Amino acid sequence: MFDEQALGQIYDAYFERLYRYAYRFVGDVDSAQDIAAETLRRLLEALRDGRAPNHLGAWLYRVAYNLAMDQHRQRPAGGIVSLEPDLDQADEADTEADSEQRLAQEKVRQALERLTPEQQNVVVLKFMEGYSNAEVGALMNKPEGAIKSLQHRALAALKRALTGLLL
Amino acid sequence: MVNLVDALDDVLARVATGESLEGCLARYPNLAVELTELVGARDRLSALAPAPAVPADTLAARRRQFLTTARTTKRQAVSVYPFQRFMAWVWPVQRTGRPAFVPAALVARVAIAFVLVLSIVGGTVAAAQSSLPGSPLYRIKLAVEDARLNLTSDPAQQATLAMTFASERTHEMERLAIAHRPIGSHVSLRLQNQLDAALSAAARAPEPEMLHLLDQVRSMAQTQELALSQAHVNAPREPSTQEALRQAEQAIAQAQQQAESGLTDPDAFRKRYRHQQGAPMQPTPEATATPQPPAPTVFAQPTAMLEATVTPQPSHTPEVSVTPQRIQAGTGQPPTSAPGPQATGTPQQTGPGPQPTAGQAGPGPQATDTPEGYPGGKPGSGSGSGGNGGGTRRP
Repeated sequence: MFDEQALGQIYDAYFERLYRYAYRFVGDVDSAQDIAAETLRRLLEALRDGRAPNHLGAWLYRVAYNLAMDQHRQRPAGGIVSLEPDLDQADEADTEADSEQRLAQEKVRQALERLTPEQQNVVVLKFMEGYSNAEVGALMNKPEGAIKSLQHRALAALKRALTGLLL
Repeated sequence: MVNLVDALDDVLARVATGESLEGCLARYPNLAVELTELVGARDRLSALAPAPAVPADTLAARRRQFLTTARTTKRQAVSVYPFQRFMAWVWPVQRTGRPAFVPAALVARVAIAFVLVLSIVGGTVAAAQSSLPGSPLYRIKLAVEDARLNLTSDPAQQATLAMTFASERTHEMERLAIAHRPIGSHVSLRLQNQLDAALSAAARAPEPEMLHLLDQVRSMAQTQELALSQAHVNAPREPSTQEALRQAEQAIAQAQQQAESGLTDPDAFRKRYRHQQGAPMQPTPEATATPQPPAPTVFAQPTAMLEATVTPQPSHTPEVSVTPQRIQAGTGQPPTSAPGPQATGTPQQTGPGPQPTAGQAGPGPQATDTPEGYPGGKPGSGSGSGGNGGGTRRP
């Protein structure tokens, strides 16, 4: 029924991207992998039902984003979580510099949590995944101008959050 | 002048291609401070390590699982039978076990149940609207009418609704007559109640509206009179049916006369109905046990009206008293302790309409109960067969 070779190519092209993307939001390897797998499974259902997406990448990221937000809503608080391994798992041999770096990472993580979901999405896609404005616009179903504005608001909010956390 | 949004985007793009930040900022000296802070915030993101790489074996296992799922994912056949198609849609929702979907499944179940209940209730109520007296759904029809009247607080709307329901009673009698089915007196009594409710509500409406409503009552009564005369021709000849039709004609004639008198003298009309301020009329037998102020006609209260209209009188008895009053429920007697006006033993001719005549009952049977279809029981056998067959008559 499906062209397995084509599906294999889609899997190879997107699974890890979706995993990295979801990881930014859920902060857990297994959950991020599950979200990536569930996203691709939903693609199969969409193809089966004749709802093939026009823009595959945008469709996949949107589904993954919604799944990640579902998990986010089920958590007591916070959005982007645990982007780093737990601090208490730090190796005893870590140097003082490593500890400072981990502390800085934790503060950035907390600052990111204060952004709106859309701002988080732009930050992840643009500055972590390296997509262009046009690509982010396609993935978020927004015009490029809106992405520029969102990018500005996201960085301004991040700056304020980091300032507040570091004071 | 370049705004901060565009300047930031330009600087970020140039830095990404390897251009120095200082060189980029030199292009926007007025925005340099803000741009430096924003680019600095972006740079802080590099402190975050990327997601751990997925082990190759995990990647391969998940790939196999994906392709296996693709092989087993087939287009589902759709049943030609609506119920099976419906269940095929509902069942996957119900059996989804993932916690994230439980709220959706619950919502779906509740929504489906709600729609089914609404459909059943709505269908029953809709079916009841065309029912006739004697049908099991007829009580639902009457209950819906009562509910609609009770839920309406605007006198004009109450009057309009009551007129609509009164017209429906006439229509029912027409249909029963055409079908050669008997017509019960409870239909004509309800017609009387609804005509009176219309007049009573009209009396509570502001002056211009009241006159308009009274005009409508008059027109409606004229139309109903014609319809009933036709029903009289078609109806079975049984005395009870003929009596019910006579009662209906009488009620319509009285309503027409009341409406005309209200159009002539609105103040007097209002005074006559002043004591009926409040909710639309409902059959309330308890109310008849309490002495009431003088009522203009038998329209005062349903039970009083019932008592009066089904009490036959000899044809030679002069009708009416000057001050009609209610009869105590269950006794057929006026409340003797009432401070208000009493029925006299020497009635005077004051106008049309049945009057409380318990103190001067003729040879016919006495009606002391409420009619079928109303709380409190059913009418006695006072069809008038022993008297003149109708007691009071319109002029």
